[in-house]
Amino acid sequence: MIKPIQRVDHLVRQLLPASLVVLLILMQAVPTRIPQMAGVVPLLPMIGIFYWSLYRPDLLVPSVAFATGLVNDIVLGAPVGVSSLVFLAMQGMTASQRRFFHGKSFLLIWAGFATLAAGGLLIQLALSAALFGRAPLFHALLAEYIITVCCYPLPSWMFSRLQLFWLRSE
Amino acid sequence: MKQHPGTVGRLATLRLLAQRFAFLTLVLASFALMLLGKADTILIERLRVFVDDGVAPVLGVMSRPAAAIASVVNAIHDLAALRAENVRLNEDNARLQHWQTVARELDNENRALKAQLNYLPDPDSAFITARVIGDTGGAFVHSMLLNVGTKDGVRKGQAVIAGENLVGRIAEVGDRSARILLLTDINSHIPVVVESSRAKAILSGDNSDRARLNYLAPNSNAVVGSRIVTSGHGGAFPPGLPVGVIASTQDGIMRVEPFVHRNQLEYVTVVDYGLPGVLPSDLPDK
Repeated sequence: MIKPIQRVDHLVRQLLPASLVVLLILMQAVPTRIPQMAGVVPLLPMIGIFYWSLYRPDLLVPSVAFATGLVNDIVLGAPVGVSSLVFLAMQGMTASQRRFFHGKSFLLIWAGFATLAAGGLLIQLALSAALFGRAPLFHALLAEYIITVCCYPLPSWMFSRLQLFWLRSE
Repeated sequence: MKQHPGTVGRLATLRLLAQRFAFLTLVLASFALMLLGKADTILIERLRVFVDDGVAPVLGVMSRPAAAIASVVNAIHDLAALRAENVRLNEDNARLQHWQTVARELDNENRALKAQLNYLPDPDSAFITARVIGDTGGAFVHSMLLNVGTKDGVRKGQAVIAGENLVGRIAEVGDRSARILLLTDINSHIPVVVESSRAKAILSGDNSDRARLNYLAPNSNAVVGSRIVTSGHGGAFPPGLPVGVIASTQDGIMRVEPFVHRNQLEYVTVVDYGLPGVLPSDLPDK
């Protein structure tokens, strides 16, 4: 007999990865007002999509990737649908490569993220330029890519702590 | 609960098929959304406004610590340059006192001339102050989110200024949030004039940090350093708002450096000029 409180607990755990990706989207949008950072922002949600597709693909399903991509587009003010496709692609590629990443070192997983993030950014660039005529400056794009890859360890470490603490019993 | 074996088998097959097709369906749904967005339907805008309104309170809270940290960093910078800043401000003050006298004389003269000509004045502007709560700072989009909406009197198409200078215009409005399209964004086209020669042009963004000046008459003597201000054509913008200076004229393309940069913005003002614009999209929704 499953008690109602257990059901709520279960639901909260199911929603944890999606909520974390939405939190990353909002963190991305907070204005930093540092002059050196103007025009460059780390694409934090990609880190969340990669991590949770890798470790809990049962929780980060394609519909979650699609929905969070939609929220990302709206919060950023970008054309709707672009981030959905990018997140879906990342989720699909990551989930299908789980066996390759299993038991590998952190550095290798980080390199895997770097590769997939590059792929995701290229898809975003192609869609934005081809369909919407929004071609960003190359050096701005490169700076965003590098800063996103460099930002990977901290959220990844925090997610692994959360996973051990909260999702252990799953 | 006993289930017929046939039903269980059918359900399992359906679920497998659904999973296989879910991914493809979502990919197609993404493309459909992109095309809908390109067609500029009201539906997509309502969705954006709905999510913006939901997210605005959270972003409002989240952006306060960042603002506090930024002001501490700025305070440290300011302290370092205190003495030099003081000297500069004294010089500026002396110069501005002189201009104040000149302005008063011109104002009196203006009043007398207007009375003689039976001049009809422009409508008065109302101002709404707003805080920037979301800024992507990204390479793909040049827009910002504000914490005011229709209940504060903000309407689509209104100009947004910081201090005296133009920042952009309102592109979408919700109940309690609004999105600015910065003048460097690719979808931004603003009617401007070169201040000295009154030559008309359109300032269009191209997602870089300098906007382009298009449709400028070839015989206008606009050079690097000319100030660009809004012309007020099209209705919704007040005329005379400073926009930027011409920074370069390479390859025949004039590039304008805006006076305001996006990372400096914390509080901005939305200008309600009282006139609706001439474009259908600028008219308030009924």
